[in-house]
Amino acid sequence: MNNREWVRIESERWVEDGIITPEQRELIQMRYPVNKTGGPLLLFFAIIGSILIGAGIILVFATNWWRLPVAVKIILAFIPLLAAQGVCIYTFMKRFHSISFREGSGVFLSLSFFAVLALIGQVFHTQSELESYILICILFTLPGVYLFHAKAAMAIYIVGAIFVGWSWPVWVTILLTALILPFFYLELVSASHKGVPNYLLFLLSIMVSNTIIVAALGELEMLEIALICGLAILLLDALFRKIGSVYFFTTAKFLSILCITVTILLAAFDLSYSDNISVMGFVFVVVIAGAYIALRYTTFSGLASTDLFAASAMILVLSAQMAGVVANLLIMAMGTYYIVRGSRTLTLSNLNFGMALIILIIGIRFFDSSLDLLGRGIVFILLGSAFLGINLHISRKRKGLLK
Amino acid sequence: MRKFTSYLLIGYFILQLAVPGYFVYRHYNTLYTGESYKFEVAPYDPYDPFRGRYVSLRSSLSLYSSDGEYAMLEKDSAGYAVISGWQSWKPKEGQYIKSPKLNRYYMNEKMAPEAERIHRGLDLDEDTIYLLVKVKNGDYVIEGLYINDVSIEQYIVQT
Repeated sequence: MNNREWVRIESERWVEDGIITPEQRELIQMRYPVNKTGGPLLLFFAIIGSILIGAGIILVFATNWWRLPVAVKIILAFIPLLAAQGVCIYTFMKRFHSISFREGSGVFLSLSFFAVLALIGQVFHTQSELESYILICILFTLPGVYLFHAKAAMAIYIVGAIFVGWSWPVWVTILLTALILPFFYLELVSASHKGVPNYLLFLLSIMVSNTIIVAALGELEMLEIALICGLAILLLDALFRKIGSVYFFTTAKFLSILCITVTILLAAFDLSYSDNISVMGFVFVVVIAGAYIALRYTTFSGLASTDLFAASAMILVLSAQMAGVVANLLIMAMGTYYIVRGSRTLTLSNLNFGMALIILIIGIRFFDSSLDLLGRGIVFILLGSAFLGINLHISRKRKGLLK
Repeated sequence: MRKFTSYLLIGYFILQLAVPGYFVYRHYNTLYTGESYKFEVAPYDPYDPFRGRYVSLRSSLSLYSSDGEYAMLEKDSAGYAVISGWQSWKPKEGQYIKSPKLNRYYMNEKMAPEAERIHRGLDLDEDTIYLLVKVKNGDYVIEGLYINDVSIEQYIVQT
């Protein structure tokens, strides 16, 4: 029982006990309406149930399949799809308001299309490759995703698109991504639950990152690709927030920060690393980071932590011949920023993230045999002094605040 | 709006049925009206996660050429297929298949490893194992895998 159902039941007792009037109960119920479409648990069961039915049907048919005449096999092969279409028509006519029915029908329709093609392929021993089969299946299940606003079926499409993207020409991956983008837009602007945008944007981040990797692999170095992926996710966040999704892009933000931080850390390994970044990589990073920062400043007020990562990515590619040294300085700066921010706002995650960055960079340089011991000693003393200085500064400021 | 969506839904469902329907029409037509060819093969046993267990086949004929080429088919005296030549354009007469791939035959998951085991035990001087393929206008459909003119499924059941 959820809170709203509890209110509904309890308020009835309150009326009986004379605590509130029936009118007041009505007002309370209007304020906290019971969700008639079912909770997330019901939705989960609907999706899992559809998957199990689909898988079960395939297994039942698979038993003694070879003994059946071809015509019978063909008829049986169409039954899952016809059943799924029947369920979808029922959902469309009678239960379209129910998220559970829509999601369940969407998954059932997708899986049954996969099943009918697989069964027919098996009946005639077709020699097509797995990638071609999945491409046809996901293309023909896509309209169902749109018609039923089926976010779970959309996940099937995305997994399929990522799978086929690696064996088909790049334009196929780009096309498959472009075909699902309107769905994200439509669902994000109408999302009414905080979890939905996070789920959608997480999948979108994966899809976009995969598209960038497939398109850029062979053309750009992995470091450049990782930077571009991280920045592209940040840009998506800013774009969708501008469109109307007010929820914070937590998962995608984490992914983008991870991409950018790991890239800078990798560049920081070798102090003499000079980034022989390609013109294409350079342009992509600068344009996307620039677009992101510009979009943020024209749309949202105040500095966000993500700006720091976008700016760091930009600085790294601009530093070219000094990339190794600059990467070290960037990690130090980012670490310091997060430690200061964490201690100011008393946010442990920020403080830990900052400390992790500093410890990592110290560890990398401590074991750096390319630097002589004296050089390392001096750098460490300077860094230690800087940290003590920051510490002293914060302590004095706190004392001042207390006074 | 709802009426428009209903039409879309009906159109979509018809399209969804038409895709496998078209495959069925083409393959069924070839299977029952096509000309039969035998291809000598040797089975072994991999797995397709979606379409299940199949035996992978190694043909004794060299079936691979650059994509898009047509293999011109003829038969020897025992009915086995012989590729008489390759063409990059569609032949006007005779039987042919485009970019032929005869490398998988779907089987029950218990039978597929049996097929490989049986093949290993065959005396290839006396026993024959071949794929019966129906060919029509460039399309081809595998009718069955045969050992000594008995379908492999029957052969496994009998032994």
